[in-house]
Amino acid sequence: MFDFIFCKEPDCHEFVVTGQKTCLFHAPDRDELSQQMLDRLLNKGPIGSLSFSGMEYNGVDLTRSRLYACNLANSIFVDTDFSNSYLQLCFFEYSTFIRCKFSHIVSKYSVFSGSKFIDCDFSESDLLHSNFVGVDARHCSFDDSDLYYSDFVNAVLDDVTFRDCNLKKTDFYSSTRTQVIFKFSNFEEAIFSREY
Amino acid sequence: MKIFFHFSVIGFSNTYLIGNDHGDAILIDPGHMDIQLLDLIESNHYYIRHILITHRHESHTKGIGTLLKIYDADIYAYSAFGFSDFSVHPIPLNQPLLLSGIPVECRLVPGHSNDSIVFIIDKAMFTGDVLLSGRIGKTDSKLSHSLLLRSIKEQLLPLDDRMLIFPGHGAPSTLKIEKMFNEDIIEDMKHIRT
Repeated sequence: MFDFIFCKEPDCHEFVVTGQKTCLFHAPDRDELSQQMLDRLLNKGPIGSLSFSGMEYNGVDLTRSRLYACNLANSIFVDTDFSNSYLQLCFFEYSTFIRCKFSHIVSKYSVFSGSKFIDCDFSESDLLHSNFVGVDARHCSFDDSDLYYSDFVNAVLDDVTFRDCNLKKTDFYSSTRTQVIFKFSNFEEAIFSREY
Repeated sequence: MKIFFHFSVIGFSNTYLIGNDHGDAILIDPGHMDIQLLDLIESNHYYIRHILITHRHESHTKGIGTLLKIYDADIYAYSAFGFSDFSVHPIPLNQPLLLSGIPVECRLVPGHSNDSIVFIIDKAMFTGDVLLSGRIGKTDSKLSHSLLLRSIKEQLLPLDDRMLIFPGHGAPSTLKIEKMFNEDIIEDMKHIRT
């Protein structure tokens, strides 16, 4: 797990970048640190327990990445390709993803809550026990994916497709769905209401 | 400290393995002991010294018997009541435990069950069936539902927003996410305001 150490700057609520005393925003050598972290990511080997939230990624090829227990929250990803990656216990909450590819990924116990997804592709992926609570997703595809035990509570889904998906125990309670397609999916095994 | 998870296909619950740097480990809610869990423990070279139980429901405890045949572990739960086959240490609520060199704070959060305990280790919170991603635990009456909401409000919501939540079922979360998007908590806050 990444270190639960907070940025030393007063009133800053971010976790420190791994090996540093501050978060990325308060790092004195922010550009150099960003490049260092990006180089580690692009290395393609398994990466574990790394924390570097608040990064900006543009056109980065992160295909076949293997990330374990990492913190990449509050980041901006544009035209970034995560295809064929393995994400386990990774935290991406409150991030923005624009035109990103997540096809053929395996995501287990990862957190994307509060993030914004625009034109993103999650097709043919295993998104198991993944947290999409409160996401705002527009023009996205989850087609042919396994979403077992994933949560979309309070999500805003606009023009999002879930064709031929496994939706067993997938929770859509209180989500706002416009032009959402569940064709060929077992949506009757998904959760849309609460019983007490 | 390292945190690993294991999904139990019996009871559909999460088991968490927390290891220190010396090979000793804590196991939270062993809902089922199977070869995958054994492999997770052994491949990381851990020995289970302590087993923590968030509450006494079968999907969180059924693996204890098999585990004790392999590891000489101490079991901790809110009360020893109902654990007739094992020796259980009742949890002291007002003093943190030090297990495998790891400080563990225990908070009683009743509602889902009367013996529901939330374990806090550093900035990680193991909530069992009390607080899950996007929802609170199931209850069997409106009274229990109200009790659970009140317990969460008093015991968990004042904690640091950055606290990571590892629930007994489903995906992980953070306290900030639950405060922002958990419909049960939001609804309750609306009632208070009105």
